[in-house]
Amino acid sequence: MDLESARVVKRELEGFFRSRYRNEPPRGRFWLGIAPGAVPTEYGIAVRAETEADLPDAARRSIEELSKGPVDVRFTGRITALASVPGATRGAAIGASVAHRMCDAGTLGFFARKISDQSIGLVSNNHVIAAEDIGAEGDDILHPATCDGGARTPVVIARLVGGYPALRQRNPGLDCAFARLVDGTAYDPQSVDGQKVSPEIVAAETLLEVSKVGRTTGLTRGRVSAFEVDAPVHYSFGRVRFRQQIEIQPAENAPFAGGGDSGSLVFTTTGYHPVGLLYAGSTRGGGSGYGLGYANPIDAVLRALGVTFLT
Amino acid sequence: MTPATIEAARAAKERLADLLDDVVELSGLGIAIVEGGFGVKVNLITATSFPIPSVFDGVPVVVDIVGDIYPL
Repeated sequence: MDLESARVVKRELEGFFRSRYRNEPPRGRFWLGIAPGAVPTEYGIAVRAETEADLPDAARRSIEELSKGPVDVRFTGRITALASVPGATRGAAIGASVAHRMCDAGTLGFFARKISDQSIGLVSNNHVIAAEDIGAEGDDILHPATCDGGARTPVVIARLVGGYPALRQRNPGLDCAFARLVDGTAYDPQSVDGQKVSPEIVAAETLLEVSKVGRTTGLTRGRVSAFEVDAPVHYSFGRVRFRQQIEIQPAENAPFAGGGDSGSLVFTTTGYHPVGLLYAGSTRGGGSGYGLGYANPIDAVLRALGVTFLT
Repeated sequence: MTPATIEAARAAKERLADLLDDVVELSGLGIAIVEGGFGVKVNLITATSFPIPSVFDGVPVVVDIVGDIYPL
């Protein structure tokens, strides 16, 4: 199959295992990826596990049945971090690695106060800390994400607050969620790039130079190329059409964001004013060909979650 | 390319959405930020044979082939 088909199949498999093991986590531990095929234009599904015991027979059979193409299974032995991603060692701070137990790694966007009860928590994407609508009130939010653990043991720093905007609804508009910090969690509420994030938000209707600090690519710079963008995003369960989104193109000869940067706060490069919450990226375009980033407008995120920036 | 006001760009975006409704390669539409003003951003999954205008109702149109969009 071609690369796009392999990506779709991988996402379908991830969705399958997420829903299947919602209440009964698998005893084994394995990871999915995309493997190069016999010729340069062909791809298959890569399955990796530390040992054979980590890949249950039932899971292996499901992967082979659902993948509609070649499956490359390899047992890797224990994998240790060679060079940790930036967000794995930040501590509980803007740009840190976070995730729901059932999610891949994402980014801690910012800290906020819930207006209804004045509790303090963190904001990231639904698909990072609420497992694409599966997450329930009180679910553990880990830092760093399990896959970023390495020598640092993931710890529960927050618990998901229910009632976040659902992705699977007739008119989804946002990919965001709030998790209340666990008592005793040390955190740095405002620092980013050695500066303080301003609580004064800015709309993306002017030519804005913006930045973000993400779990994977760290600090990058971009430019708002469009706003009020209506575009579909391919989640593991299907396509979601968002409206009124912010589009960002890279300002440097590198991508603005990569996998694991979801949830990053997008802020103005000058003044550190919040603009948006990054959640998606395109595979192409953006002038340089590195693709475009997509963010929810920050005012809509604050309103939907009923939170304010910490000052 | 003469930039438009934001109101003109919004109106052009709505009308262009109708015009491009059957273009299967269309990924999304937005308000483009261009030098000195605004335009309409047309994002395509792949190139299309449909003749997308460079100016629509006096508003500049910026076309970009962006592929598909995924959560990061």
